[in-house]
Amino acid sequence: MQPETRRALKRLDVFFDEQFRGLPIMALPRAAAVAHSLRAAEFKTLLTEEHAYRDQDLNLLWPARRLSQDGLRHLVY
Amino acid sequence: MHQHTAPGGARRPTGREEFIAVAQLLSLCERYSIIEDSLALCRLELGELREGPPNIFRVQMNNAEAEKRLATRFPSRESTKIRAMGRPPTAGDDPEIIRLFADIRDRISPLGEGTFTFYRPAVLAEALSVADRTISMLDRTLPTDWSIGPYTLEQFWRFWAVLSGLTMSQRMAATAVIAFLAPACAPLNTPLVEMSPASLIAQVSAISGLTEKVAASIVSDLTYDPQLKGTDIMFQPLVVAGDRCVVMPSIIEGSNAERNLIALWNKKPDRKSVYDTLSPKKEALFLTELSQMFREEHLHVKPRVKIGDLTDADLVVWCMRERMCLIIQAKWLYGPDSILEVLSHDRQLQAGAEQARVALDWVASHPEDFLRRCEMTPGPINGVFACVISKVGAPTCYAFSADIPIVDIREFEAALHRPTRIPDIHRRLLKGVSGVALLGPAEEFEIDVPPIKFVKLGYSI
Repeated sequence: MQPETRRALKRLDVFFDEQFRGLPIMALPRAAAVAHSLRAAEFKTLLTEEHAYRDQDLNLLWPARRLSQDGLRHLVY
Repeated sequence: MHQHTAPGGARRPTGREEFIAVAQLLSLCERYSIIEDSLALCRLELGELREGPPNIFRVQMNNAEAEKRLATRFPSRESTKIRAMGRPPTAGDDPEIIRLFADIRDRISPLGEGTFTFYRPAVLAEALSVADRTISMLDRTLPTDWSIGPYTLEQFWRFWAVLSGLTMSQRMAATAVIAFLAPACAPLNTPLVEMSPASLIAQVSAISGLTEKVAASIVSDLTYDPQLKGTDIMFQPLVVAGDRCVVMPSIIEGSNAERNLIALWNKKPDRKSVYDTLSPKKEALFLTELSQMFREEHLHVKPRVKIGDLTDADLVVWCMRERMCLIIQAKWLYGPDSILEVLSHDRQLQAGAEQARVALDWVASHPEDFLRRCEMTPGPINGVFACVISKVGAPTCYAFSADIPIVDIREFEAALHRPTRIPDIHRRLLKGVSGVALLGPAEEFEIDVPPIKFVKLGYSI
């Protein structure tokens, strides 16, 4: 790995770590945060799908679902 | 803003502030997901990341040839198998799903301002019937009598059908509220199934006929365990929050359940030790499946042929008419999802191509020995071809050989035309691998987390 890549990865890791730690939800107890998060995530998924079907924009559906599921992995961690 | 009504009518609200806090978290998670694969490539030393000018990051794959191939074969990730779901059924859909949805919609009643309820047990039988049929369309490649110890795969599928029925009916109820009863998305009931683990075990057991002990073992395996290395919500979709177990319907219904279960078994030492004794049996099943594709009179198949002392040819297909043969290296992996798994699968498939190369070279220098080992009549060999076939999970841009096609089972089946001619199969496979471009050039994009800007070069999904 090039030193430049190592430096850049570290910069981004620190940046995202700070971003995640700074979110208001991190102040909630874990169990409550998880329950709220999953409810909101499922709700968001349903809304995205509903809008996609209503607007006849089905091309959005697959990437939106992929993104949602990828995002959920980070959410539970 | 968003309320869940627990059994007995108690309310567990997710208020406006909590909802906004979660939305911020989800937003950041999704934005990170967009660049996660690229960062993983760099961590695996397959790409380089450069910052410049400050706060603008560019990633580029190191292997230019692999990058070109990425345009035609992007990672065969699990979500490519996610089926269409999650919308109000309309005319033209499966009549049983339409009937189930209408039944659920008709049973929803307001519980006062902003909350709704419906009695799930009343529709569960209908939901189970739909769930059973949906599950039958999933990839189910392993024998259902295989047991991991506390439960068999057959018992797992019975469990999964009930869990799918529970979550599907809950999701449809939420969809009905959003679509028909609260179009402005004012307060609504939760789309999640939330219940205590004991209640889930009791319900699954009562509906499926599984003993509580079996149901409890499956619940235990599927419960999210943050201490388990490499797990995530797709492998363990039951998440404990306080005294409840919360389950997202979209995770259950979008799951490639068998793949995820096997991936989970491989992460749990006690399950892995049992699965490791079962896994070698897959090769015989796969070779039987492949052999049955060559039933014409002019073809002869021979499994597991020793190639000197160097390697095995998993299956040799011999054309008696043209005296040509196809050497098949068969790989049954469990299907990649993360970029790390994609790479691991590609390496195993690439190793298969290298085994095939060794076999081709050995056959060229030991034709008589080869024919004898295959129990074929002595004489000339007019052509020797090879390929690698993956049972689960297509190869991607890092698994490649110019003359030994690496394909998945669907691509292989598509290349078989009767009457079978081995050179034609090989030509079609090579042509299929170079196929049409599926990805376009990557465009510069900015992730909305100021001040970072992320730029991807090459091809982008």
